Amino acid sequence: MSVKAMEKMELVIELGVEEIPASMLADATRQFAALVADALAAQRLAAGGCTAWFTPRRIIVGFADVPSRQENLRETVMGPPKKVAYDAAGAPTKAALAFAEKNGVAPERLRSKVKVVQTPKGEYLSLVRTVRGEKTAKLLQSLIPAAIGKIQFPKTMHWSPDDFRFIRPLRWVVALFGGKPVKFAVADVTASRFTAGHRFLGEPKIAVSSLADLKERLRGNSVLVDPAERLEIIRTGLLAEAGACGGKLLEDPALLETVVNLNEAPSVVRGSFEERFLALPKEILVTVMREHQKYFSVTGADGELLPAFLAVVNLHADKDGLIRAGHERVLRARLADAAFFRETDAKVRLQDREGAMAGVLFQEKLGSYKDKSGRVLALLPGILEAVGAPELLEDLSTAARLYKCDLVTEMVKEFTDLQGVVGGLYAKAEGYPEAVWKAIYEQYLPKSATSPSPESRTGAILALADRLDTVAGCFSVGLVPSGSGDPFALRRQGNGILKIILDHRLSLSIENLVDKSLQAHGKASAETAGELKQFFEGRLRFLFEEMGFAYDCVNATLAAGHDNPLDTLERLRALEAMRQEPDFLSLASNFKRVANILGQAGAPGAEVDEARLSDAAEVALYRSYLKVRPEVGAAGARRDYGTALRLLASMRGAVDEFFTQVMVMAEDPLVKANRVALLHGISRLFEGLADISKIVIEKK
Amino acid sequence: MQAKNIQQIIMTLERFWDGRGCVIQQPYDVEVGAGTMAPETFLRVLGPEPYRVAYVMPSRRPTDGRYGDNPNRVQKHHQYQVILKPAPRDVQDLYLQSLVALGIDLRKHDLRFEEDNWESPTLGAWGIGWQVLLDGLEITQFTYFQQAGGVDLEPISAEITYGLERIATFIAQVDSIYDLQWSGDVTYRDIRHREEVEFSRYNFEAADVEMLFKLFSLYEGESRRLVAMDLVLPAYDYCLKCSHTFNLLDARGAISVTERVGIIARVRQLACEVARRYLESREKQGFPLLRRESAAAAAVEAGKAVAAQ
Repeated sequence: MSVKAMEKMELVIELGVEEIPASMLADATRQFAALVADALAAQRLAAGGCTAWFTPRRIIVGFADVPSRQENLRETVMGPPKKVAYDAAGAPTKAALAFAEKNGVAPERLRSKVKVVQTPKGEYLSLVRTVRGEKTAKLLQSLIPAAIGKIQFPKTMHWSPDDFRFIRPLRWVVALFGGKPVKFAVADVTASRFTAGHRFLGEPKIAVSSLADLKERLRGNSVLVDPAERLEIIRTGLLAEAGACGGKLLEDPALLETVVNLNEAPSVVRGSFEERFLALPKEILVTVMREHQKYFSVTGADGELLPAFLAVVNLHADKDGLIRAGHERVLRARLADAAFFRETDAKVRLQDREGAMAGVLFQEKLGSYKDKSGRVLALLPGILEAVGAPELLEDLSTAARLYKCDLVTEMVKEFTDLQGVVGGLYAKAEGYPEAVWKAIYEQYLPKSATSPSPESRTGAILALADRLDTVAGCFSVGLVPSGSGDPFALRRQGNGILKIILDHRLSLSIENLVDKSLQAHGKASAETAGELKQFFEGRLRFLFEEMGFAYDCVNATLAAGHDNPLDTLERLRALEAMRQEPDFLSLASNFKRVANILGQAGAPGAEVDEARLSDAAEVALYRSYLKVRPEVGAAGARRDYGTALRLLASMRGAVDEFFTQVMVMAEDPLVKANRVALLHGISRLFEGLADISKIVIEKK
Repeated sequence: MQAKNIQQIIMTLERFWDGRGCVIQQPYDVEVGAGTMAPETFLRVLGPEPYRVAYVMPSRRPTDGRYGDNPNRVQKHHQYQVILKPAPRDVQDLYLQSLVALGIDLRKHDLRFEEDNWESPTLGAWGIGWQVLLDGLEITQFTYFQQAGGVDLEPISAEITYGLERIATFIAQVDSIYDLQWSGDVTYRDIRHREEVEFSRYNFEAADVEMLFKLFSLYEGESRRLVAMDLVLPAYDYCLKCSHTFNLLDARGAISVTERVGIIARVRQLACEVARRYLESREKQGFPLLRRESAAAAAVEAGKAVAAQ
């Protein structure tokens, strides 16, 4: 059968939505493109290139070269068993006729079309059926609305008389296939060829015929559909305007993405504020401008802020300066507020706010922030002693008493993101030493597993103690993360504790920390301590894999202990470095056998009895063992794990020879026990280093 | 024509929404924190009856008082509240037309709808929507109500809450609300400044905490007693009084963070009970406003005709 070349056409879909939240736009568009692509593929429609654009009011996807109909499908259908389908005379029964009819085969063609096939269950009727491909335009009528309904948003709403839910009300849908509208309705909207331009600079109803036409007509109606194009315009505008006020743009990629997602026709407006506001700390100025007004800041040659801001607006230009004047007025009010907060806050010193902290609840079962501060204070001496820095106690104790006091300042009530930062700045202004104010300033670092830890040593220890108190406290009252539920972000806090330990190279025992913290909570319990041990093992595994270590090295290292995270990291590094050495790999592969043998042999016997060693290979191995044992011990004691592992790898030849020449499971039980004892001794050399039987050996 | 002062802004909005089929209501005579709390919003959005209403609502937020010293913060401001139930498809456009009616040229200003979902734990209510920013100034809260008094809403109402002082400062291009003209020759300062000074002192310093706690309990008891007698509307008044009393206690710093959650929950219980009983009561009455649904639609059409003229 000759098949006419399948016609291929363009599919264009635009969802016109009331302003979609900026943070959800890109993801929703990606989802929608993937949903449509998957739905086309599921219908055996192989589409060409996909385009995905968005603006605050629209999600646009286009697919090139979508076949105009499905290929015909030939499929084999199984029917009734032969013994039911044909009678004794070999004539087809009702069952056979029904099977044929159901699949569109006329009775007279039954013999030529229906075959008998052999299956494991016996002989059955079978036929090959041709399913005619459906027209794509028809399939799209249900495929597109289904895909729209499957876009996931963090929070949806209801607006139309049906049950349809979406991020914001859907107001129009353009759906064109080969330039013709696809007919369907979704929620209270009927798809058509009509889009809408910019709210104020464009026409409300514009007919379009293709993706390229949509893009160009919208451009003519003051809508730039491609976010990459908007980004370019905004960046260029920001750099030019920053230059125009004699400074440099303070780069802010997250804010840049936000403003790309907030505007259809972006341009940059430059404004200024009074110099007197520069007396406010830079952190506060930047936060006021960024968080509340979505303005970019400009810095001078010295890195300090200039009294200027850059706003991205949804119009081509601000010819009369009206918009600039409006934004300046708003910012002036905001900065005046911030200055007022600063002045008000300055009337009460941080140390005089300790009492007020008693009224701020940390957690219902864990008391107020004053209680928390007291517990953290109690943790400090132990931690400082363990890390060998008792001289920090005085400054850290001061910091721990004050570190949450900014929660009751006007500034933090208004700008909650600045918790800690405000406290640190205020402490600095009150004349506390750097070790104190920096500790307060940096207490919320690191923000994630990949962002920097506090720079200062006091900041690191305060941040660690604060998180430890939260994690241990929550576990002690049963607030334990489970599955996807972790309302107190304990996993993130656990990661923070470990990251600080590793970044600052603090040699600390988790068990010890946990015990101290549970005591401070008055909730010492072996069970909770056990849960926390497991929790930290999980966090450490996560962090190591995040750092790029191979999972089998992580497993091998953790299996040999993980109470001291810094020590664990050093063992892991040594192991990872050894992993590529042929001697080591060979040793590791033999160690799987050792682990098996020891597993079967049960409890280890006495020490090796040298007199009973008979085979030359076992004698050689024993000598080798005796030689490296003290050296491995010494290297381990000084945490030179690389040397320890290299020493162990040097036994490779002796181990190989042993396994080639010697039968461990000898008939004489005494000989056998002696050999097991030897292997056990060797395996004990790895104790506290790594369980190398967990190393995965790739087969060549 | 440009509305020039606060009362012209109010009159322009009254005319505009009158032309779109709204009942023009008067401010409710119990203290509230926002126009949403007035029965014309909180109760009317419940149930199937269509309704359109607009009204000015003086809104008291005791903690926002600044003794008349701050150019932008006051313990009482004025909202212009519009409820369109069900929300019409062109509700955003209607809203934008009302700004044009106030004389704002939207081709020369930067207007945007930025995500801001409204939620009131005290009322057991939430909605999805935006804050509307005009050249960076928040002038309106725009919400599609999803739930009120713990009840899922059907149909969905659109709520438009204009901040009258904000819009007025935008139009007049002044830095302080006290410099606004209220009428042709009387300023906002003339009318309101002394009130801000006295109420700030009252809210922050003078309010009798012990008495307020007593009142809270009395109001709460009365609301419960009334709702049990099916006196739903008086019961709601006492729920509102609880809410305002709570706000005063909060401004006096008399409520710790721990207590706060509990007290909010108590007010919410009252509001949810009132909402439930109100729905029952309307149902018993046969949802009277459903009968005039067709008449309402005709009024809207007539309104469009007026607007088109």
